[in-house]
Amino acid sequence: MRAKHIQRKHPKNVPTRARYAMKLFAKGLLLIAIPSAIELALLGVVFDTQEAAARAARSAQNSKQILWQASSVVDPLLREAARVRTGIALEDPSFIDRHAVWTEFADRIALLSRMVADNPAQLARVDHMRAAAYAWRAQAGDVADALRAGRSIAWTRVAGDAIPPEIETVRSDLAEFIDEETRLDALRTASLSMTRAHQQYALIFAVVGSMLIWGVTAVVFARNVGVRLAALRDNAQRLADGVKLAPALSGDDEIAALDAVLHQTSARLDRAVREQAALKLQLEARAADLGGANENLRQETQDTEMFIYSVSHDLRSPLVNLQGFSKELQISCDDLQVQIDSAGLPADEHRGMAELLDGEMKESLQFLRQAVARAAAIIDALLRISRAGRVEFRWQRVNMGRVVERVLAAARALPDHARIDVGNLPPAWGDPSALEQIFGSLIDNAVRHLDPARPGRIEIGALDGEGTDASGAQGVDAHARTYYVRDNGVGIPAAYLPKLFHAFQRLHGGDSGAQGVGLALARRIAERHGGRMWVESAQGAGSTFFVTLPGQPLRLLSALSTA
Amino acid sequence: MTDGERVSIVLIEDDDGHATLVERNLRRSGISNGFVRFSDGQQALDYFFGPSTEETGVAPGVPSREDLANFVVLLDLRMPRVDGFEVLRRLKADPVTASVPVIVLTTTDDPREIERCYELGCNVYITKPVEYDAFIEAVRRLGFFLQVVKLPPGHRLARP
Repeated sequence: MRAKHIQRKHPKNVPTRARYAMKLFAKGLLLIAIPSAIELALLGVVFDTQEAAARAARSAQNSKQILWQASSVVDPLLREAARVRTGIALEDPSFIDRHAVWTEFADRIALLSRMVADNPAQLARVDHMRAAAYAWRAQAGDVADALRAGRSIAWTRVAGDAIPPEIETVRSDLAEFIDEETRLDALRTASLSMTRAHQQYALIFAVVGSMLIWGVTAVVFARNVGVRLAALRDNAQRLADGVKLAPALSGDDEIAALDAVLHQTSARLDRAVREQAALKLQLEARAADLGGANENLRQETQDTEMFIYSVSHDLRSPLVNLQGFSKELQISCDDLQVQIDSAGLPADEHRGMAELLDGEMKESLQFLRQAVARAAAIIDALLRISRAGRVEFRWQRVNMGRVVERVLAAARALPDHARIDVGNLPPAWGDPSALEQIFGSLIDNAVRHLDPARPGRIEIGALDGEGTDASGAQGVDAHARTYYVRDNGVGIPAAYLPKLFHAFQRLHGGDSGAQGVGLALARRIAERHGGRMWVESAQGAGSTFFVTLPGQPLRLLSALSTA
Repeated sequence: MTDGERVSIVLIEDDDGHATLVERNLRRSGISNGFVRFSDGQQALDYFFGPSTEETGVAPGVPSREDLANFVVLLDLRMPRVDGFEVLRRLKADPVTASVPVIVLTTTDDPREIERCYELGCNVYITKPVEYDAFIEAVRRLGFFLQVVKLPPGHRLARP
């Protein structure tokens, strides 16, 4: 239809939006305007025919009236002619002078003349008739005058027997006039019926045409707009469902524009989904990398611990011999000493031998045994610390008060004037023997580092509510408990604080009890419980060791404990 | 010491130093009158399950295996050829030797190994280095205990 035709004229990529707006609006207008125009045209045709029919009817009626009028116009003349003859016969002029007649005649002929004003031939006849009538009137006037004057009117007698020639003219003219008028009338009647027929045809045509027009309009609308709107809605639904869209709609009105937008959105959505999938892959790759790195780290730690474990374990066997035979040497030396003493040797030899035994041999043996004991302790410590990551914890609610009691019961003897105060210790969640180890190390450490110059005081307690550590790191979890072991001993110099929890970094020499692994072990155990251990210390004043332990089981902890 | 308190010791140990230490300490305590030492599990199994001593001619001083009633076996776990687990298993599986008390004497203190030994039927598990005083007491008591106690026949520790 016309709308589509207009579409194809315009190029596809028309830039301005106003143009698009006009398009659909224009289409709508066209869809309304064209049928309306055609309807109007049809209406016009119908009115036209109606008008024509009405005119024809009027015209036909007009003819009939003319005929009627024409037929009546000659009567007064005839009557007047009769009166003139009578007057002549009676020689009475009063019969002749009738103004009313002539007025009447004048009116009628004037009316007739008006009626045929559009037909010059007829008008000429009417004028001719009038002229003849007036001529006769003049004659009649003359006759009247003559009669009144008493002249002789012999000539008029003769003329008066028959109808005067003027009236005859009038009559013949009238006959022609009537013939002509009848002919016209017939024509007009024929024309009228034809016009009526036209009118009917026009009506039928208009109705059928209207129906066609509206049918065509509906079809055009459906094809151009309706179908495309449906396609648009379908596309929108597909977009919402995430399904692939149908091919783009043709045309360049708003519907096509909307469809283009939908396609763009769909393309963007696809891109976004792809990007997201790519990102997800990346994320998974990174997570896998991280997991792999973690696993590697864990494996390495485990491998290291196993290495340490197996080495220290293998060292045990020679250690048994070292310890055993150094003791054997000692025993043999003592036996020798006994034998020498009971041998009854000469004093010099006896002295010499005794000196040898008591002096260098004894000293050598002493050093040997000390060294062996030290090596045994180190190997033991190595074993313990390498085993710390492997021991399975038995998780339970632990009464910390009892744990500390057990530790104190087994602890080394306190120096004089030293006191240990134990505060209220809330229960913790963990392995009892492991926790015992922690506190054993801490208390042992505290006792060992008491200042001999003043009475020692060791405090064991727990912090209330949320504790924060000295470095201001993240606050303690509400479920965790922070315990502390405080002493007023010699304290730790600031320089050593970082290395404090590393194995084998012993600050004070001498006594080989803990072998420098106690604190490292204790911290490892605390970390495996999901807690932390740290220290605050002032040299010369004392130290406080804090350890955080969970109060309730967390699912995270079981993962940590197998680390 | 009375006869009732003396036991024969079978020591199965591959390290000479360890073996010497055990031997010396036990001798000093006077607990045993017979001391047999095997250097590896295979030798021990041959002794217990191999042909009879009359045929192979065991050295004098070595108690014949027929006299199992007074034996105590000290067993090391880590040995070449046949290790202690296998020896333990064989000893405890055979009804003839099942009643012999076995003391596992080894350097390792891995709880899993300890559990395994007890499952296999060892009587005591001791880790080296050994505190010999307590150890000797344990040996003595174990041997004596098994001598004196009457176990129902058919019990795996009853004398055949």
